[in-house]
Amino acid sequence: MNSDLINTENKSRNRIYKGIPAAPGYVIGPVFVYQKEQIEIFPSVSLDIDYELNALEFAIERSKKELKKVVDLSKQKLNERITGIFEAHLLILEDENLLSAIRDKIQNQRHSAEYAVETEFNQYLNLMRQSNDPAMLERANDIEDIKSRIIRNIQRKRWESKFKQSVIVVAKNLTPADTILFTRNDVLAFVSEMGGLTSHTAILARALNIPAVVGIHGISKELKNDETIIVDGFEGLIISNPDEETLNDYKIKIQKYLERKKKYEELRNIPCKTKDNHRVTLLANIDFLDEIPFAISSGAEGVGLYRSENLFFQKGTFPTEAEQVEAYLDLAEKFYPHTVTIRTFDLGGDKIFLEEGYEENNPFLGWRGIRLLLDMPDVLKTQFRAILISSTYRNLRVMIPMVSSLEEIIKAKEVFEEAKKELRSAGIKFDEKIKFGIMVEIPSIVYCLKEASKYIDFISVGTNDLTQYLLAVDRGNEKVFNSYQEFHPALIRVLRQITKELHKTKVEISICGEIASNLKAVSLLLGLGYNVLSVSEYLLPEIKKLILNIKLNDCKKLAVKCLQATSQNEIINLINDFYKKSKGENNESI
Amino acid sequence: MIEKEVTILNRAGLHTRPAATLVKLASKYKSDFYIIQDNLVVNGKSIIGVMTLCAEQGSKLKLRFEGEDEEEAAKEIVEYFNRGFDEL
Repeated sequence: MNSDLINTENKSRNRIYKGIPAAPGYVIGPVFVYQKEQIEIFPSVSLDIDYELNALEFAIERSKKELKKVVDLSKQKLNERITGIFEAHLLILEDENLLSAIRDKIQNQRHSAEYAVETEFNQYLNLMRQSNDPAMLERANDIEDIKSRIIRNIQRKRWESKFKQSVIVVAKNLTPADTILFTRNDVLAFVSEMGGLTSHTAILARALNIPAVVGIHGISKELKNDETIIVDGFEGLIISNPDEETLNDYKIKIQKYLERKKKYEELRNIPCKTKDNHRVTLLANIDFLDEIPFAISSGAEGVGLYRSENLFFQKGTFPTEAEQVEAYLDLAEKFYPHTVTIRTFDLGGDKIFLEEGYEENNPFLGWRGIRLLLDMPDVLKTQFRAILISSTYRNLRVMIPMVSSLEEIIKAKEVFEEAKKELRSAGIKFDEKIKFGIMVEIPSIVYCLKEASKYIDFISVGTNDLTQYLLAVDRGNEKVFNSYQEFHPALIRVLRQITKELHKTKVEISICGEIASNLKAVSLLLGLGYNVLSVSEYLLPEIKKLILNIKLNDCKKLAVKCLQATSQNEIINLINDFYKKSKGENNESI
Repeated sequence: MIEKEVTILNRAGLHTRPAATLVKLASKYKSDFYIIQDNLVVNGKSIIGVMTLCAEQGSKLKLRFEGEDEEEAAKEIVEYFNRGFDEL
């Protein structure tokens, strides 16, 4: 009895494994451990050349048939891009250069068919594996899979990839072909030991909307068939032996997630375009990392603004390089392949900055944003380093806040270049082509944008600060709050000026202030030439719905009218009318 | 024989899909087609060969065409590189 008790206690203990979140979603379900037989090839000499040649031809033909099945499934379930990868694999089986070299080994060196395939493929694989580019190593894995396929077919063996119940597939290594073949069954999730975020398997799982966690060493030996586990595709967690509390937590998480997802689902995969076919990109603003799952399921095509100062507030002081890397990598991984814009710490002003005894008369006109960071070059450099170190997926961008002059851009870029130099000399890899941008939220920089375009790759317009600096109104001050006019004619004109200044430059423009999340303002922004909006995740589906229902041409007409308006009221009336009309059309179409 | 230098323009580099397209384009011609990167020479009509090239954005490659229709082959293939593998 005693031992039973101990057992129950042991049973109720969660075992948590941390891996890489490759595809989002939560799942609770039974395990199916997928084991492939290891193929061992020994150097061998064959006396029967014809037998070996026939075995090779048979295996090539059978492998082609198998891969064609994969291509067909991919065509049904996935997009052209991914199907293209499988088609390329099929081409390898038709590569005359390769096949004749293999035949030559059989004929002239008397290799057995499998040994000839093994040695010929390995020449290429060895070359690929010399690279330290993850994409190249990934390609090597794909080709290894083709090699194994041919050898298995020479040995006339088959692998089983069909089963009856709904399961979580756990494997040492899942090749893209395995992954797609499994979808003929009801797969709840994929878990594998090998693979990273950029692995073709991860890309496939995301495209198939199946949660996946990869990169957990030894997991296929740890888990048993039919045991119940939790797969957390957002955090990259596997929980085996979950206790009641954890199960309940996850059941609630799943329920919440499904409710939201249902609301978002219908819209999520529809491309965001106006009725007259102009593409609009909707990005998410992110404050805290736990918003990521919701931003992803809302259909955000990346993060337009990550407010990194929240790391400072959570800790009460500046986070270390390692702490920052952890946060930025998390964003980069979870949003991959979409882009994430990390804004360096925006401290000071209304965001309390802790330095004992330090006070300012005019904090909004004082030591804040990039001014503060340039006075603390070590802090700025550490942050730049952390962003660079996290940039290896090539989907991060860096942005500096509160820029008022060209000099600030130039100085900040000097620090940025120093950070790069340090990493280069330490042999640390980063995205050499990482984009550098600025927030446009101080009126002075609006009139220097043409010159600034030489130094920057993108801008993001922050309308909240832009409005308060343009109108000289503290939006936190109740007494003057009424003078803070979100739709002041001057603001609309400045927004137009920004797009004009950058016309014919390569600088990308997005807008991330509250105005972009305002349903009624969206048409006006599109009309003014903004087609990348970074908004609150929970409003994103609504904004998308609206965009699908309006014409850019009409938005432009609205913008022209608003640019001529002389009061905020006039503008509000114009956009309200427009909004009602577009909603009305919406009702008709339903 | 024609030799041309090309630069990889698209962000993703010479990945699997463009590699397959390259091989398909090259196979339409009788001429031999080789791609040279540093000391590595691969047969441009062999998909597995082309896939061993590690050519990211900005890398420079030398293309060599040799045969009766080398001019046509060079024209079409160089154009494909210059279009950034249609991924720009």
